[in-house]
This record gives sequence, C-alpha cells and structure tokens, in this order.
Amino acid sequence: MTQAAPPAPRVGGTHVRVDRSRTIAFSFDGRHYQGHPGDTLASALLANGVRRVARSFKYGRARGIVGFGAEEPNALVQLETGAHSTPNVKATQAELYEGLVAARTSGWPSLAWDWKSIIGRVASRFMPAGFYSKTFKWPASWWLRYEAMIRRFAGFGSAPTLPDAERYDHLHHHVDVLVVGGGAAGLVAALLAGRAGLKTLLIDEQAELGGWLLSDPSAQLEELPAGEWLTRTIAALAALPNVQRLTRCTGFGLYDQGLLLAVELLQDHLPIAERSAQLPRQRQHKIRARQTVLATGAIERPLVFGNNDVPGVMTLAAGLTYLNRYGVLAGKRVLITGNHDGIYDGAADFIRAGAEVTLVDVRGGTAPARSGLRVLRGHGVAAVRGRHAVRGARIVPLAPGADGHLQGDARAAFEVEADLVLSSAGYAPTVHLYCHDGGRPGWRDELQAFVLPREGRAGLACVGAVTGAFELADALAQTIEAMAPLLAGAPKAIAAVAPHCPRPHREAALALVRVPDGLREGHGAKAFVDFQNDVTAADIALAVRENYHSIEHVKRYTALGFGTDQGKLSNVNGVLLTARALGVNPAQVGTTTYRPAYTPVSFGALAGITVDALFDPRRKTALHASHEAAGAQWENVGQWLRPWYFPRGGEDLHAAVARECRAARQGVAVMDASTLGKIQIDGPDAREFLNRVYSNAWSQLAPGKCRYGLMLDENGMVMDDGVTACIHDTQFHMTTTTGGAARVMNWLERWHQTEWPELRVWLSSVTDHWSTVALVGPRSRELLALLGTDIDLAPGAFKFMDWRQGRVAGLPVRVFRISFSGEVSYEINVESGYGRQLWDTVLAVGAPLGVTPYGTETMHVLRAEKGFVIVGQDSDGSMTPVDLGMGWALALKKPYAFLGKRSLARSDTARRGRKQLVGLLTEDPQAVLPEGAQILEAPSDARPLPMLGHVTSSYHSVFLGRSIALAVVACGTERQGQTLYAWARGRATPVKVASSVFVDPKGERQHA
Amino acid sequence: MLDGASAQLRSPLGEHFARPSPPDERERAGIRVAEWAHLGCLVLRGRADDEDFHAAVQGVLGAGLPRRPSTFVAAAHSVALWISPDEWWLLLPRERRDATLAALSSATAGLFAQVLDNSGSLACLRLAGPQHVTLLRHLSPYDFESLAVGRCVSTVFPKAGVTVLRGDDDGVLLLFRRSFADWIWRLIERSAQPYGLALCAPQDLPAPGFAALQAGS
Repeated sequence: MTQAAPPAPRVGGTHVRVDRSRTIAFSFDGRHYQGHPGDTLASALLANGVRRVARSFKYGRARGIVGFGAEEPNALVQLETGAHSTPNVKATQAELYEGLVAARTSGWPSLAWDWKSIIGRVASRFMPAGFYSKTFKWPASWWLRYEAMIRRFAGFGSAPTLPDAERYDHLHHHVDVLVVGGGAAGLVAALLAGRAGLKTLLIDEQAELGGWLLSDPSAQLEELPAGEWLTRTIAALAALPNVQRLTRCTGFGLYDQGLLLAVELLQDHLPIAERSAQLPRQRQHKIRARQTVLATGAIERPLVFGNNDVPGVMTLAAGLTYLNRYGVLAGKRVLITGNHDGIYDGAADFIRAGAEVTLVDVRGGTAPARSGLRVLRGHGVAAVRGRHAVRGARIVPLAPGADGHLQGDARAAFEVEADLVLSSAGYAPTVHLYCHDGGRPGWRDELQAFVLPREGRAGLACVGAVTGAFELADALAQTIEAMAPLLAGAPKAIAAVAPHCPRPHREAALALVRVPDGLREGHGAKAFVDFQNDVTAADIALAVRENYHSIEHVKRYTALGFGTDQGKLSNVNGVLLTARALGVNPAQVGTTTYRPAYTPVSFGALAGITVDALFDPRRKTALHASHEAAGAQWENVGQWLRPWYFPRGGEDLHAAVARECRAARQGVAVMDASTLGKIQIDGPDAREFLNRVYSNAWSQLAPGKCRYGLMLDENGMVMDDGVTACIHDTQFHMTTTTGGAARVMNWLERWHQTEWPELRVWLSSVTDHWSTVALVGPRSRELLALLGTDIDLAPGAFKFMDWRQGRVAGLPVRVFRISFSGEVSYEINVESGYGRQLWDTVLAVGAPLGVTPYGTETMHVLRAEKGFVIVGQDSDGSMTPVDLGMGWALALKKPYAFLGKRSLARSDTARRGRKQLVGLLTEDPQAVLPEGAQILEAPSDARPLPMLGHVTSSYHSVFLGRSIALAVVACGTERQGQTLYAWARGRATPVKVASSVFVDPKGERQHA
Repeated sequence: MLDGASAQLRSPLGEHFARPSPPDERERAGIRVAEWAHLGCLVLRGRADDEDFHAAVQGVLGAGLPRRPSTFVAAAHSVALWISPDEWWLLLPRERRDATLAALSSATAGLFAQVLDNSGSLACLRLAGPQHVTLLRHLSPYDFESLAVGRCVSTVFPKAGVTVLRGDDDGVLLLFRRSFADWIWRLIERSAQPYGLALCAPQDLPAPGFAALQAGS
C-alpha cells in the first residue's frame, strides 16, 4: 500500500502559474493531500508523489498520469459526490479548489490491489484484440449472461444517482471572427482581427490564455520571454472593446453554416459552497461566426515501447508542463526519449531544474556534449522497468535491418536507472473541429502528421501548429498569412507583421512510432498505443493479420480511440502502425472519422435551462389560476395543461369523475374548453375551401349555424375533427382538436398555398383570443339565464347546432349550442382577458344549481357514452370515416373532390374485413377493460392467435351503472351481438359487441 | 348581474406584476421588465401588391403598412408590424380597438382582405436595462445585437414563438401568445438571474419608440 514515490519538490521561478503562498486541501481515493491555487488535480497529485491513479480497462495494470490536458487517457476521476457528482473527469483538466473530493474510477477492490490485474497478468497473452467476441460466443443462449458479467467489469466512473444540483444555460453569439484556441497563434489572430475593427470572440479551453507558451517559458517573442509577451498581448486584447475572451471554454463541435458549439466551465473551478446560485455551473455557447479561425494547436504523440504505461511514463509535453507551469519536478532521474530535436530543448529545462537527464535519441549520429546530460544516440527504450512506478528502462541499440526498418539488438541491451520517462514521437495537430462537418486532414510525410491546409477553406482559417507549423516562428508567420484574407474587407486597414521569434537550426526528425525491442511483435513487453482501452502495438498487428485493413475496422476490432479521450494520444500512432503493418503510406490509411464532441460535454450543458418545468412549453388557459385554486389535477394535452378532474374532500379520480358525470347528466356542469384550436376563415371562397378540406358539405350552412366536420388526409384517413360555425357568408369559425391545432393550420395553409392559390381565402389562428366556458347538462339553459343574457334561449329560437352573438353576464360573447357530451350544452366564447371572470361568475351564480366543474376525464366518459370518437385515441391514422361508423359525414357528390375522397375507393380502403369502431359490453358490468386489450375470437392457448382488434376507450359509466368500451374490431359492424374476448394482463374477458352509442342513441337529450 | 363596465380584464402576466420592484432594485437590475397589459391587437391580411387594400388601410390609420420585411411603422395611435408578405399586426390602445376594427372592416369591405381582433391572444412585455440584449441572447438564436431601431423579428424563445420589436435603444417589446406567457415568463426569470431582474410599472419604464401605445396604456 506504499506510495511509489516521495512527494515531488516544487521548483521554478516567476513563470510558474501556481501560487505557492497559499495551500488548499483536497482528497483523492480517500486520502487527504495539499496543493496550491493554480494546480490541476493532476499537478497536485504528482506534487504529492501520487503516481498510480488508475487501473487499466482490460488488464488491470497500474496507470499514472500521462498527459496534461484533454488528451489524458488514464487519470479519470469521479469528481465530488451525490448531487454534484461527475464521472470520468480528467484529473489533468480539473482545477484544484479547497475541499475538492475525487475518487478513483477503476481498481477493485483498490488501486493497490486490483482483481483484473490478476487475470491480466496470468492471462493477458490469451486476451488479444477480439478476445471477447472470440471467446464469449458459445453457447448462444448464454450471450445475455456474458453481457451482464462483462458489463460489470467495464466502464470507469459511475453515473450520478441524484438529480444534478446545479444549473446550466445557453448563450448565442453572432460575431465576425471566432478564434478557437488562445495559444500564440490564436492570440495573434485575435489581436489582428480586433485591431482591424472586427467583432471578435476568442475562446480557449484552459483557465488562462497562452496555450503552449505557458509550458515553455524560455520561448522568445519580439525579444521578450514568453510570459512577458503573453501579459502584453492579453492586455492589448483587453483594451479592444470589440474583442471578447472566454477561457475555460472548449469548442466541442463545428457544424454546417459555421455554427460552433462551445462549453464554458463557469464554476467548476470553485469550491461547491462558493459557487453562485445565480450563475450556471456551465454555459453552452452557440457561436455563429462569419469567419472561424482554428488555432487549436497540436498534441504530442508518445513513442510506443515496452511497458510504456507504467506510472511515471508521460509525454514530454506533460513532463515539461508540470515542470514549467506547475513547478512540479516529477522525477529526479529523467529519461527523455524521442525522434526529433525537441527532446534536447526539453532536456535543457530539466537540467536547469536540477534533474539528472538521460537522453535516448532513436536517431543515429552524434550530439554535442552537455554537462549533466547523458545522450544515447541510435538507441531506443525496449521496456520500462517497474510495475507501480518507473524504476528504470532497458535500452537497446538500434540499427537498420534488412527491410530498411530500424531493428533493436536485444543482446546488447543495458539498463538505465530512471524515475520518470518522457517520450515524444512528434505532434498530432488538433484537427477535430475542421473534420466535424466532413473535412479531412492531409498527411505530410516530412512532418509525420495529419495537418489542416495552411490556406484553410471557405469561412475557416487555420493558423499555427494545426497546419503543421510546429516551430513558433513558422506558426506566427503562417498566422499572418492565413489572416490576410479575413482582414481584407475589415473596417480598419492594419499592418500585419509576425512577432519576431528565433528560428533554431533543426536536424531532421526520424519517422518512428514503435521502438523496436529486438523481439517479434507480441513477444516482448506490452507496448501500448491506446492506454484507455488497453490496445497494444501487437493488437494492431494482429488486427491487420486477421484482415482488418480499413482503419475504421482496425479501430472497431481493437477499440483504438474509443475511450473518453477519443484517442487523442493514440489515433495517429494507430494509423501509423496500421500503415506499417500494411506496408503502405499513412496517407492511404487515412484517419478515422472525427465526430463531435471534442471532449465530453455534460447533459446539463446540452439541455441548458429547458429542464424540469421548462423542458417544453406548458400552455395555460386564461382560467388556469381558478382551476389551480380549486385543486384541479392536471393532464398534459398537447402542450396544454388541462384540468383532469377536480377532487373534493379527498376524492380519488373515480369518485370525482362519478360526481362530475352525474352533474353533467342530471344537473349542470362546466368545463374549460379554451384549448381547442380556433381558426378564423375569411373570404369569398371560404365555403369552397371548407368543402375541400372537410369530407362533408358546407355549401348550405347558414349564418348562425354550426356543423361537425371531419378532416381526412390524402389516404382518406381521419386526421382531425371539430365544429365549424358560419359567422356570415364569407366568414367561418373553425375549431380543431387541442393537440391538432398547429398541424391542422399547417395542413390548411399548405393546401391553400401550394395547390389552391386561386381560392380567395384567409386563415388566421385565434386559438388564444377566445376563452371557452362550456355549460353542460339538463339545467345549463337555466344557468345561462341566471347569468343574464340578451340571447333568446327558448329551445325553438336557439336550437342545437346554432350559435348566437350577445352578452352573457355583461360580457360580449359568442355562444355555440354544441355538445361533446350528448347533453344540452352552451359553449360560451369570450375574449381571453375576460375568461377568468366569466368562469368565476359561472361558478358563483351557478352555485345554487350545484354547478360542477369537470375535467378531461369526465369529458372522456361523457363522450364515450355517446360514442363520440377522439381522433388519435379511437383512431390511429389508419381509420376512415366508414371504419369509424361515420359514413354519413361523406358528401361524395360535392362538385370538387374533398381531400382523401379518391383514396376511399382504393381496394384496401374499400375492402371488407377492415377494423371498425364498435361498442363492447363486458358480461360482468363492473369489469372495466384495460385500454389496449386485444380482441380475440375465442380464448385459446395457441400461439400466435389472430387478433381482431383492440380496445380504444374504456370507462366505468356511472350513468349506466356499468362499464363501457369502444374498440376497433375486424368486421365489427357485422359482429353486433357476438361474444368476443378481450385479452389483457393474462386474462381473456368475454365481451358482447354492441352499438358504440351507449346513451341516448336517438340524440334527444342534446336537442332538449 | 354584472355589466360591462365592472368587467375585469385580466392580463396574461398581471399576477406576476402585482408588486413592482422598489426603485433602488430597479436601478441596480441588469434587466427591467414591464407588462403592457390590455393592448389591442388586430390582424390584417391582404396581398402585398394589392394597392386598394393598402390605400384603404392607410386611409384609416393615417400611415401605410410597412412593406419592408421585418419592419414596423408607428402611426399617431398605432404600431403596424410586418409579419409576413401578407400579414400585419396592428397594436393600439384598447380604447381605440373597436372603432379601428370597425373602420378597417368597413374600409376593406369588398376587398380581398381579412381584419380580425386577436387582442385576447396578446401578451406584451417591455424589456429594457443594460443587459436586456444579453437576456435575449440567452433565449434565442436570432442576432439581436444587429436588430436596428424600427425593425422587428418573429423568432423562437427557445421553443415558443416570440416577436421582438426594437423601437429605441433602451429596450424592446416582446409579443407572444397568452397561453405561452407563463412559460416564457419563467424562462425570462430564470435566464435573468445572473443580472438581476426588476419588475416595473409601465410608466417607470419609458419606451420612447412606442409613445403611440404607451400614451393610451
């Protein structure tokens, strides 16, 4: 259980970005540590000597911190607990704050002793790529069991189990220039755009601007050290009011038409108790820029060599960053290996910090001697020694073999002591965003890199290392060049000159990824390409041997690049190894597909504020507050909130609905019907328009009259229904179903605009203008009279399906005498501003009559008793009017066909045996069938059984004292009186087929 | 029984504005908002190239309907905004609504036009304060920084339709459907949190670009 390394000393001078005058406490994996403001969790763990932070996915090998940013594959932690818990945060990206609590996401039962590591050590040679699909194949019936078992050992962090305690939002930007990446090139690009007077936004994923300059204080720009140049440049940007800078803000996706999505971590770096409740934890920025500048830099690729995953092996860039930026000297005896001159610059920094450095340069030749530096040219690391921490390395001499490739000489191997191994095989430009909308990077042999074009593409400029300009001087010169077209049309003309930087002489790099160890691939120590998914060089060679030649196939067979790091360290190395195994140029292999998101984005940031009550619009009627005060229970209908029922004194749904139904059938009840869609139709051709969109006839409907209309789609299927009133000869008031209002409006406009533009008609939605209060029941006329009205209510003067304009309770109204209950009913429409007053007045004035408000559930029972269908419940888009028993609503002789008419004659629509709407009565009058129950000819255990149809609506009718149901049944109308069976919940219930109209089949009540 | 005079109009958001913020809070707030309750809103439909229609409307309003997309025209007592090539909305003080509706109906009688009262649909907020554009940017993808005085746009917030009019640099008018008002209000309250939201009476939040409407409201 001992930690493998003593705490690492803090070193360095003014360039270190950590404030060592203050300490902050944090914990990892149950132990308490101290760090400093400016640390990441990773730098603080390294400073505390913590090397082993994870166990590997497949083999359970001890793993340490490899990178220093988004590329980190190993150091995934569970940050915080409970409602603040976040899985798989990279320790390299977690800024340290007082009280931070991080847990390991791998290693069972502990990091020190891991169950998988036992299997991994004993059996790893039998677990190559494809192991799971090759092994857990037989017998097929065990697949689910295997899956359950394997899943238990898969994955890293845990999904939070509590609702997220924090909030998120979105912010839209419209700018002239968006610069992604705040390193040297991005800063210069932003400064140019800003000085040219362009509205500019600069985003960078780190806590402060500077990019690699923060890790390389010895860089010189304009004769200034990097730190000083940064300070001046950032101050210059800050002085430009047209430039906005966002740090901790990662551009994670680039989409069509230049939309870039970015997530800003506003409060993740603050102790939870200090986070402002007024601010979101994270903010998603949706940025639309005329020009986007990608200054996303490059990520160093490590070399692939034996045991390159032992804690204490890092990229050279990571080692330098911890040293220079965080002041953590992660080892005293440092072995640096690589294939290019950058390793000599890195060695110099470590020597300055007092480390003993061995340089293993895979290139031959000689190097100038330097004190404190041992240089081994023409050598490579065959394998690292140590299991939980680096203890040294076995070095082999390298020489070209017969095939022209370098070979290691295992017999001449020797050991070198080291406690830190840093490697560099070159750089992989961060090309992701460029590729999200279909772009592909180009391969450049001389750079050994997939790069973006220096000239960019339309709307997108690429500057700096992302184009392969890895030397600072080259990167800045290229930035000036690439920005020129953007600045051409800018408000201000400016002289764009690259900051002067020294151009050191560079010896050519050597193309090498896998360090040859003198053994056949797969026989030496494991050499990892992808750390997070335990993919080795041998796995890639095997995949190619097993005929996976496309890089997309190699990826899927080996899981290369599938981790939460998305292969930022491994993808290009994997491509190069695949090319080597295939004997082709990497350009022919190409890259895998880059897809958003560049780094993981929380669901919260994606959702923004549209969660919980704000998830979707909740439309409310003007009467809503009254319903709420009355204790209504709510039902979502479309986007509307409608009262479902109004319980009184502890009633449940059934008791309340029974009471509400009795009131509607025996006294007077009242319902808020405001949610129905309403469309005002004006124009000389309004009648003809109605004739075409409804199946029934409208030519004769007189002013003052209403008619029920049935709307069919092109296939002759019922899509909506409602009552339309003739206001005057060229004006109609159409109603639609609540949920169908917008769809019907679009449908009508579509036909008018695209097929019948010659019809002179206007359609305008007035849904929200009117509030509708429906008085329902035998005493509704009495109540209407009590309210006071100038309308003649005499049954002979104001008949069923008439409407009248007038005043009710002093308010200007339209009253429609229509009914969805089969009772006498007056639907009073009033301007919505008066809706609540009308409703409250109805309840107050109607109290002596026992007026009872009711909701949608009672409405459903009342209409089902009458056999009135609900489009979408009793029909499902495959029902014609004939199927629904409404053949009477087809006016087949109208001079111009109505929509859907021709389809009614199609063989399938006209055939016998279609499902038709019927009523069902259970033998046991108290048995209420479940909706959706399947209708069978006879109960039987045979499978499969022919299913005749299903129950669409089912209720207990308090009026009838028994249950009722509507169903669609094959040949239903011919089956009247037959006994069928409704199958649901393991039981077949005998039912008798009946008329779908259970109450008042002659319709006398509604005419009363 | 009640008569029309004692009838009580209720505005979509009136309950939220029952207690306006105190003056110091109003000063501090990044976002200030007032409900313009009970405005009249008429819908006018006619063909863009139907000169008879436009002449008839101009005869009533004293100003022509805006023909340039996404603009509005303020007349003496009304604001007409372009909604689509054949649709305009006319905002006006409620006391002018019935007479204007009648005048427009009679002026367009016999023409191919639609004139209707949609006042009951209308929810209207005046949104101002130093951060009011930021609030709009939180809620909608439209480029509000480029919405010049005299222009209006119908867009989404983020799933509900809203029409935004800029009549002056101080703020904008938001128009939306009454049934969405509560949801949109919650969005505004939530998004305004980082900046501070002050509830104001209309007279405490002047809108120089909409004098025609404010005088009567």
